[in-house]
Amino acid sequence: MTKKNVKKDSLPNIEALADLAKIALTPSEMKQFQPQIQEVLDYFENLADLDSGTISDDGQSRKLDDIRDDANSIFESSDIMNLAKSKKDGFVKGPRIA
Amino acid sequence: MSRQRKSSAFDIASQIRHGEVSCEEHISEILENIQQQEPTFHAYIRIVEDSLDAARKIDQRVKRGEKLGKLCGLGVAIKDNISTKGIQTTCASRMLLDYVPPYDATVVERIRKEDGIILGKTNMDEFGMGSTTEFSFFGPTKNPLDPTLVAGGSSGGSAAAVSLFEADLALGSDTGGSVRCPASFCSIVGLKPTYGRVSRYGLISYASSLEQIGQLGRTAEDCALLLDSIAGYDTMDSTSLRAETKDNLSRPSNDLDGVRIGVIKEFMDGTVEPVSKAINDAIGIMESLGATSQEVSLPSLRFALSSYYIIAMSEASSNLARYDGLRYGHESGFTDDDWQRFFSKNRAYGFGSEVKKRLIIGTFVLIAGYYERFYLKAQQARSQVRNDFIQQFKNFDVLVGPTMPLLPFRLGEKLTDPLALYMCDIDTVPANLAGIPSISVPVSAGTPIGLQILGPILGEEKIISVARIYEEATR
Amino acid sequence: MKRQPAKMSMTETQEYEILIGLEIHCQLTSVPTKLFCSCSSDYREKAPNSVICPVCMGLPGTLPVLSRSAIEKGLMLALALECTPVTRLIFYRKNYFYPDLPKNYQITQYDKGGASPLAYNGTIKISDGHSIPITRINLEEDPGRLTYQGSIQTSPYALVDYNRAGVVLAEVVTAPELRTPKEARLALESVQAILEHLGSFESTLDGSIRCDANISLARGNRVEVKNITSFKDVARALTFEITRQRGLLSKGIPIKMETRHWDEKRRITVSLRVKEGEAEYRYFPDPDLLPIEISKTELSELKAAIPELPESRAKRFVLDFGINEETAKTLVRGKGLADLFEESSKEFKNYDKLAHLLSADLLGVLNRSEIDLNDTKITPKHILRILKLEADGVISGPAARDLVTQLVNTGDLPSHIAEEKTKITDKKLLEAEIHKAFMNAPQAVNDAKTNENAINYLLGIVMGLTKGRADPKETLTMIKKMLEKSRQ
Repeated sequence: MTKKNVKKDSLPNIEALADLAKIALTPSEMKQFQPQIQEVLDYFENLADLDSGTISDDGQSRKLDDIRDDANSIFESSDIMNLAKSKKDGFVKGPRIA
Repeated sequence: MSRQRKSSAFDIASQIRHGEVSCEEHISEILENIQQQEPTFHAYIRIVEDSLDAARKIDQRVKRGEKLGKLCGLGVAIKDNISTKGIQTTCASRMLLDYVPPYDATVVERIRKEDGIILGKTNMDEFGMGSTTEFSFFGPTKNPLDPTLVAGGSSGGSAAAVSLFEADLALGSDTGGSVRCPASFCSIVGLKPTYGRVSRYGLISYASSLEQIGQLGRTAEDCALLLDSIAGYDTMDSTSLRAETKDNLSRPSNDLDGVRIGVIKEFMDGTVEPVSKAINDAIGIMESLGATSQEVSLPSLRFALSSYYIIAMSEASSNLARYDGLRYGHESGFTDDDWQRFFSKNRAYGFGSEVKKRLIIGTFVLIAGYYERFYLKAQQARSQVRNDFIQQFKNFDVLVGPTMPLLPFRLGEKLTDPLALYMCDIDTVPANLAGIPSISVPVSAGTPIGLQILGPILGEEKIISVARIYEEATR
Repeated sequence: MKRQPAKMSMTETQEYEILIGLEIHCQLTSVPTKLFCSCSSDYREKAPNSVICPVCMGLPGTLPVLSRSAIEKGLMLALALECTPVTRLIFYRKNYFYPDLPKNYQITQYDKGGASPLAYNGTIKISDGHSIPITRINLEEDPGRLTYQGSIQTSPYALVDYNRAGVVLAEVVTAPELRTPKEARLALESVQAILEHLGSFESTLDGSIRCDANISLARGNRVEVKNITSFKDVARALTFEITRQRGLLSKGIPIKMETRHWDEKRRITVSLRVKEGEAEYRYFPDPDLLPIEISKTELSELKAAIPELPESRAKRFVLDFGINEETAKTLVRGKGLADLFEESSKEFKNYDKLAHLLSADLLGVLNRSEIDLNDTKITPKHILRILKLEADGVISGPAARDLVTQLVNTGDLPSHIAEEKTKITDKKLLEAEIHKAFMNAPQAVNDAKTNENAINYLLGIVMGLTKGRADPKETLTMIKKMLEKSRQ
């Protein structure tokens, strides 16, 4: 079974993934997650036994005619801006970019 | 134990409508139940304050002879991942502890329009990620049948509230069984409609292509009542179906004459003995009511769990990316951190372990190279599952099996073994992959074993009616 | 056919072949709403974060709902650029975190792994005669806008305005077959002219057409330059980047594959972050949006609705007005110039003259001063006035060109010639004014005997004294007469 042939290099680098997912993991979290994540991914490998076919269309689609017409509506934007913690002159104040 | 315990929500609504029962009295009784039982069971995260005022208004309107909506004065509990304008909606996450939506979910609007009274927001696994309601920032919900057991999840709070008479009806969300699982464990009825039947607008996404807002009630009829109140096309949800809304409340016949039932072999295999025995007994009862049954095999189901978790985690990794602390949600203070550090810190603090794990796996399986090996394979499997169901519904009216492969277990028992916990969803995820409706009804009153009845796309009417006939026969 | 890339001639002995590809982002400004919500697309000069709603702000639980006219306008652009549109439209999510992106993913389109963009394989015909292949056109959401205190590199914070977030963008991706910064500019211009003719686009709106460019020298690593927000800056940014890379290569330093930010204030590119690998964008179909079926009927209806485009308009100019092909092509490089020509032609029938004034004189001045015609207030009335003065012999050709320069720089004609006013009919009065002019400028009177320009100068004085009420032709005759008289 393909399951047994998972190459070592395919094991995910948790640290790099956490960086991509923008979640700062502690070393202990990484240590705890690594085997659990690995176990789940190993389980997923049972899909290797799937007879590959093409993905059949579930027929769900929309006609162009069904798409909304463009009518403007106005939302009270202060209700949304109230949710932001840091603001300056009507802007959302965010962290530095560089 | 009052009148409530004898009546279905459907009957209570009718009594309020005809002035036979005062809505205020009814809601007070529910609030009393909440007050007494919540310390033990913890079904709710938040109780809204104005439900008695709302009840009095219903009474006044009844007195004035006004025509009231379908939910006429019923108390409805809402899972805390469904947006309620002006009422905190946290998804049981530290990330959204102080988040107050500035808009109502479409289903919430519709409940208000049908004169339902929103009682509060119910406990859940954080962002819907779990099958026990233990992964809540607010702590677990306990099983109403035995508080040392899990209530099931992720809509455990909604199921417990209905089971404990702390609500007449409740909304949950079902991404991979999150309505049916707790319904089964708490011995009530839970319905997951056809994908697209109920608008998802305002349901805080976990996995968009799989989830539907589901209905929890003490009877199948109650679930039908709630479904009929909220179903139907919504311009705000591109995936909502333009199907005609059928009235699922029309009285079914009294027997199951001619109903062809397929018993899903893959569901029965791997199910613990007391559950499989109870399901076989239930099938026997249905046969005695006139149905015919036959075992069927859907070979693709062995890929269902992998397929489900890959798709759910992939979509989640993208859906939950928006929580960065900038526009709303948790922000760990404004320091000299650059934006990447700022986002990473906020997310690390806001999300619980299970969410973090799922987001990391979801991120992994979408990276080009792994995408083909995991995500695309999962979609292929999904498509086979869908096709297997389509084939079977050519020969059968409904398919049945257990909702859960096991009985409710002890709190904490599976916390350290994620894969074991994922395995609990093995019989519920296929309906989500296929987008078909499925209902869980207790095999007998007060038993934490659910009989799952699955129907074809838009086959709610059929599964609800089979469930109701079964229910009436076993009452 | 693949075109040969240009070798840039350099002072150094080495020559590097240059390959430039563009991702041109055009806001389809005539779509009234944002791409996936009902907020107005008209966000300019609005208070920050005032044109937002739960959907475009990515609030929890919100879902995208596609705009129909965005698809229609996008398909029309695709057809106009000779692309092959798709029959089944699918949106993908491009996942990356950035503070200007409310959902931390962008809903866009994709071209790999069974995905398909809005349209494939078109052509941008640029005015130097070359055709640049288009790889694909995508529809996507515009992100919000970041502003800084000072420069991006030193600002202690970023201020975010989400008004722009969700506005409809059509992204035109070219093959890396542009050879010079100038060609890049011409390609942008050509796309803009088509958009303007389609009526999909207001080019006067700031930042409505922007681009990212990728540049590689000597088939080395590609560098992506982002944040090029105007026509002028395309050539500048590319020239800077080519010079920078050439400098590195000549010193034997390899070029890093990276994304650089065009700092329009300092006019340099700065390294911003290591480019996220394509693999890490984790593209997958957006599960919140169903595929959209586009029927053949709808496509042919859209095709039929396409108005006259620059290419055919140029052909028509040749046929209808007898102007030469080259001039006609120049005129249609911008809709504004072509409209100016066509409007003015209704009243001024010397088409060659008119075309020349616009395509050579006016365009020359505009290019030299780096001003966009759309940013000026020049109307056919101005053009007709200059041409009439010249035709009437009131002003000379060079004077007419001077007026064009003034027109560009000041946005209007000098008041005394701006329009015909009540003429002075009293000859004695006119004579008196000319006399005054002679007294004021004795040197000119002296020079006028030998120098024609001095006569024009005197005319100018008279026009000034009479606030333009003197008839230039009559005044000129009279000035000459009076000069002769004084000579005798």
